[in-house]
Amino acid sequence: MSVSAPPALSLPRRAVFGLAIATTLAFAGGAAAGESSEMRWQTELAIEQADDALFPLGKPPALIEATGSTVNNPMLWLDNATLTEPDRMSTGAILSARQLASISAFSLPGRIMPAERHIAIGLMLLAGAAMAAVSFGLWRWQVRGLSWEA
Amino acid sequence: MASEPDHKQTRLGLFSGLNALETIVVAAIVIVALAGMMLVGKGLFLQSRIVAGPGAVFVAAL
Repeated sequence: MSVSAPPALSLPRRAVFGLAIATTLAFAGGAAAGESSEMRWQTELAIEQADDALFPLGKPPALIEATGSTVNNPMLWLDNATLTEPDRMSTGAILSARQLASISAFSLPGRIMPAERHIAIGLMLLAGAAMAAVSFGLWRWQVRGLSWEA
Repeated sequence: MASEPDHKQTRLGLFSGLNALETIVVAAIVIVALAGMMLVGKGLFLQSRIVAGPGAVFVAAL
């Protein structure tokens, strides 16, 4: 099945379409060039009215940053970056593989580094010593009493 | 001065109130606690060496 061409327009309709297109182009060109400040003011007023209708509580800042110019984006004030520069920007330190493996959140479950093993065994020895000292003290208190009570 | 109390008798040393068995037990507890603190210190040193690198020189500031 072949795609047929649209039917040809009659002459008056063609004239009306051409006039509409020419008017639109002239209107847009004048607004873009800023020839008429009145027209630009009307455009801005229409945009503000549309924003007020869409967002009665105020336009979201993210939408302002996304749709506006770089002036609206505080992250682009320092250097002349593009709109997508913050998405490609690294704000943290770049860790090596060794440093990344030292972070517990990124290490595999069950993989314990030697430093963490040392610390864990040391803490267990300290806990055992504390429990033994408490037990010994309570036992000696029960058997002999306090030394300054003798 | 016959009524003066004997200070040498009431003074307590570190292990003076413990007999031999209790002294051994206390010494074992102290040794275990010291070993635990040394292990924790070595673990912290290894951790710092992992983060800072093996060639890092630790200089005491001030």
